[in-house]
Amino acid sequence: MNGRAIDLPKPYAASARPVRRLQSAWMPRVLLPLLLPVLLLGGAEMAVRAGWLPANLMPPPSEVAATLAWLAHNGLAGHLGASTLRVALGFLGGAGAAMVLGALVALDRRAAHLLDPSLQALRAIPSLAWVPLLLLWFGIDELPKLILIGIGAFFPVYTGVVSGFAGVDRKLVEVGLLYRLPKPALVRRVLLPAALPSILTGMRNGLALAWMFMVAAELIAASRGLGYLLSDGRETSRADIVLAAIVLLALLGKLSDMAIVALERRLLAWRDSHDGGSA
Amino acid sequence: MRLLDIEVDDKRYGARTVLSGLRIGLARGEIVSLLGASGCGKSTLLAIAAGLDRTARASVRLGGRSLAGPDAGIGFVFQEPRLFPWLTVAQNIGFGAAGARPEAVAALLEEVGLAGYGEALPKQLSGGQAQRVAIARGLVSQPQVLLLDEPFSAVDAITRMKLQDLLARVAAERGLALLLVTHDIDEALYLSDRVVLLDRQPGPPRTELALPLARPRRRGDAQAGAWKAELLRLLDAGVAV
Repeated sequence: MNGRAIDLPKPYAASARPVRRLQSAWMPRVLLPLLLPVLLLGGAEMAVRAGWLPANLMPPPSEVAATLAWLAHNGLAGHLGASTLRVALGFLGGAGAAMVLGALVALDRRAAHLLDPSLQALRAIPSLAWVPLLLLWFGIDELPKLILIGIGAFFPVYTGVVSGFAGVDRKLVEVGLLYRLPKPALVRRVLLPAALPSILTGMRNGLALAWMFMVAAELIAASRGLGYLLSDGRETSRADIVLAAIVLLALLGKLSDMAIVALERRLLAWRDSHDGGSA
Repeated sequence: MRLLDIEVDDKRYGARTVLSGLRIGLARGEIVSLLGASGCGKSTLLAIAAGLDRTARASVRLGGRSLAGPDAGIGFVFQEPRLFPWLTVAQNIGFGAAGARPEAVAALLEEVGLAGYGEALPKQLSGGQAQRVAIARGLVSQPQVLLLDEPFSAVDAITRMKLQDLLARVAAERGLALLLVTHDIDEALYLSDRVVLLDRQPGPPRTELALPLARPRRRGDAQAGAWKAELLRLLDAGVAV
């Protein structure tokens, strides 16, 4: 066999018709996901205007949009900023602790025996059950909110880290041992990259739960944030404000999820996985 | 003096003894094939030689030096390529030796017939190409001995023949000693200077055959055919491959 270059297999070669491929990819990726929301919003608008739904309980989407526009000039940025900051800080704390403890449990048998049974027992507690205790201990300031969000983010990330390390192919570890990698290098060069898909899935789930727990925390006690808007809308019987806050939560949740998916795509480009069309 | 000496006093899996009282040596540049029934301990013997199995009562000496674990002087090619999917082909090869220079990796790619593939990811390779990368990784530390555990069992017949040619050429050019586990008698006859038959019962090798066949070998050679018949007779007499 000589050393000549060989063409890459066809599936990985550049497409002969990139423009056509782009057009055909654009349609399902951009337009298709919008179809259902547009239909639902249009249907809701029609149903309310036709009097099939009571406007005081289910304001039409156009009114929700007008409320959003009004809120934009009346403190919406502060609410968005407060909620986003809480999620960011709570998630960083919870996910960071989960990474450290998860790696410790996954890589050290004694740490696993010491920590994992207790953490699994704590995981079994519905996270909202912590709320009364957190309020008793820390009052209604920022700290209990951040801790609650952190608890919400902790367990999915912890599970992702532990199962990711545990699921690393023994044969790849053997290659690392064959080439005399010391333990820190084995973790950095073999275990961590191999566990990354599971860790990122854990982070994605953890971030979704962080948003959920942020709402719970703000519903209980807050003077700013989207949870506060929800609570305020309910107390003043303003369903348009409640719906506006829900729309914003959906948008923020989706945006943060898209950020993790983009990170996943970038870090896991090496994966030879089936792309079934799911984001 | 032999280049590589492997002595296994005892290797057990639980209560079952897999290898015992076994001694195998390789001279510099010698190619030895291990044949034997499934479960007779061929792959375990290779793992011991590579320093991957620390539970056996065994000793491995390379060039008179006693080894306590994996050593840069011994390369290994597994049954599957075992490439790291997140590393490029060049990075996978470089993994085999700390500080491997890019020029050395490029020369290895050329040597195994994969010039221009350095930046490709493992998912972009065929099975045969991936195994070429695995061979290059096994060679990057400039070992004196290369251990191969059924390295071509998962590829098609044509690819297998090309990989056998590659291995024979690389071993000859580098003066490399090979210890090859295989189930393929033709492969053993095509590549080896010596064939060692292992018995299912733990103990010394059942038979060792030196093959006085000229190099370069030709496939379908009449003399090799006679040796094949002899090997088949021996295997039929008690060792199922």
